[in-house]
Amino acid sequence: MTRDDTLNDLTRHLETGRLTRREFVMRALALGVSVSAVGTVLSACGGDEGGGGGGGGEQVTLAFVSWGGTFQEAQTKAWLDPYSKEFTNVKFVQDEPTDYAKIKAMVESGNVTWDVVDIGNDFGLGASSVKLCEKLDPAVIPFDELQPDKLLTSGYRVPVHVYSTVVGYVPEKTGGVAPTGFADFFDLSKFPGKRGAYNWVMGGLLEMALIADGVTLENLYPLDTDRAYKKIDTVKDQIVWWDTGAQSVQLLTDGEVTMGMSWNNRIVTAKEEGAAEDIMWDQHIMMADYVMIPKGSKQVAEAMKFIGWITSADHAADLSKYVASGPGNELAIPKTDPKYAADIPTAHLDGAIPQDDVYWGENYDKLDPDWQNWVQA
Amino acid sequence: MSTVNAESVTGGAHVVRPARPKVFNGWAVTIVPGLAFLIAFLLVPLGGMVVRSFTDPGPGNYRIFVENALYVRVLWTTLRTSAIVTVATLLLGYPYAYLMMRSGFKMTAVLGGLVLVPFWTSILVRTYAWTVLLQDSGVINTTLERLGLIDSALTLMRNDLGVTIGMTHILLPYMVFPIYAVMLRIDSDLVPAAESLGARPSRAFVRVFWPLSLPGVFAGSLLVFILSIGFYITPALLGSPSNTMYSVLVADMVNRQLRFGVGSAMGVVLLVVTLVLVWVGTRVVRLGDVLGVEIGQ
Repeated sequence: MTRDDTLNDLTRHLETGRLTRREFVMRALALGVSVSAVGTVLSACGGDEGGGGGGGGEQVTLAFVSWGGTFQEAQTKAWLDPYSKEFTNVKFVQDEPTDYAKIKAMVESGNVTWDVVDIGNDFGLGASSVKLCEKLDPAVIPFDELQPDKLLTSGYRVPVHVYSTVVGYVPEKTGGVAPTGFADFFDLSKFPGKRGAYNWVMGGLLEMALIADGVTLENLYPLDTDRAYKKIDTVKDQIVWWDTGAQSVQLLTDGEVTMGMSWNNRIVTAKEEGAAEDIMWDQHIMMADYVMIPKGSKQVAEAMKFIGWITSADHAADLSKYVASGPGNELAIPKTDPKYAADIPTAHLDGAIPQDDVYWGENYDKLDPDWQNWVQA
Repeated sequence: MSTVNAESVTGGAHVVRPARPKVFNGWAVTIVPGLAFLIAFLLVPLGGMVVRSFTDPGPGNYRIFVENALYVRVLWTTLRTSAIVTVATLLLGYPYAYLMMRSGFKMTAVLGGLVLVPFWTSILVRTYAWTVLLQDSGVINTTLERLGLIDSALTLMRNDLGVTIGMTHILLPYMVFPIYAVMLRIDSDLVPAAESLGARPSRAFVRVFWPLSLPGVFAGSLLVFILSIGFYITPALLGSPSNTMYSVLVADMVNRQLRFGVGSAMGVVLLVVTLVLVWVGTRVVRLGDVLGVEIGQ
């Protein structure tokens, strides 16, 4: 980075109010910029104490990062493009895929190039990841409307895409009978055949096993993992493990399994492509993707404004025009696109079992090696 | 090693060798960019990783290896898988390279192309292609069932077999080409000479050709073994959880748990284990042969 680039950054920080005039002068002088040059910048900013960023003519570039593929394309069509149309001074550059280690490395090195990042529910709650996030501003983002009883925001992340880990089944293999709960996933006499399951401790199988074993929603957490493993052991030799979402639907589509875990949007896409599998909605593990701003982003104010826009009641449901995704904003649920209205978790809240991200944030480090030892045995 | 002069290397035999070039001539400057690149992008980050493994937050990072049997067990699985794949690629690759060496120009080009073309397809696509062939409802099983040769599906993947097939397919070129390159350099008169002195073809091969081709075998094996150790997606897609590779655990530690210090410690352990294995290997064969260059004793 040249001195001029650094000076430009400083200038931007001054304009967006992240630096006071005094801090700006000190840093600019430290760069070796002459006093008269600093004076020129300051007068160009017109003595404005930080109200500059936004709707005016000033160009802003936000770096948006998500998981790539059709999902990120959908986000682009639903949110990025319309936003740029409404706020013509905002342009987006995109990167993929989301990488938590990269966020950490950026924040630690002080060279943050991402501004808005789509994250899974496994990030942005525990102390180690919260310190990598900018605190989100309740004045700009409608926290109260974001289903706080089901989706945990922590003040550092907000939900933008509600989905579920569901049990998909192949009617041809179940004799046309639909399973009606997680108990059927573990019932080999009622539904013989293999089961597809996510090989990840936080994938939802532990919760499914406990619910199937009769644990109530209120008593689900903290997880009784011994009991869960015992329950899964009853079907373990019939489980085909998968690691990627593509595999999860392929197993169903190819008829490798009778029943399998997957995500609702994956199965909906497969059905659109002609696959003969269905979603059991009687019970499902509901979770969400969130967005966050990496700490030290150079566009915090603009990123905040964008996040406020996409989580607003007006725009949160726009993503459902392109993928089977529920909105994070409660008030937007009625605005969900009719095409996918029946295929999203927010339409089946009776059977929704929200994953407790706080519990996972605190226990993941311990539970993950246990899972590995169990699953590899 | 530069202190060893030509005479001691050749044991004083009456071989005329060119004198070693002076330490510095103009061309030596060309090494600078490469060297700078290695220092900046290999040695410095590597050093950073070693430091981090002891300081972020402390040497206690290494405790995971004694606290949980998982990490040593998966390291063992990884080394075992890599060894199996190395042997499998060698068994397929050696005869293939031999055939390439013995074929005419056109045939060699075709054979070389057949190994190389899959190289230009993404690993993920090739791995999924194997799934289509190998799974229970896959092409192989349905065909055999229709022919009445089997009653229930053979388990061709989600086990060691699937992993070995998939990885061998991907790594075969790394075995074939080093062996082929060495075979080309073998004097084509040597085997006929041995035969003219009364050796049967098999004996001439075992006593003359095979030993001369060994540098290629070792180079290919080393390459395949080391590349195997870092494999991730193929074992995940074609194997079962018991085929979990070490890199999966490292990625989980770094990407999900964000414990860079522990992840670094895991990297250091893998590096040290690999270096020890390579060192043991070079006790068996001279490193110079493996790398195809002359180094002192």
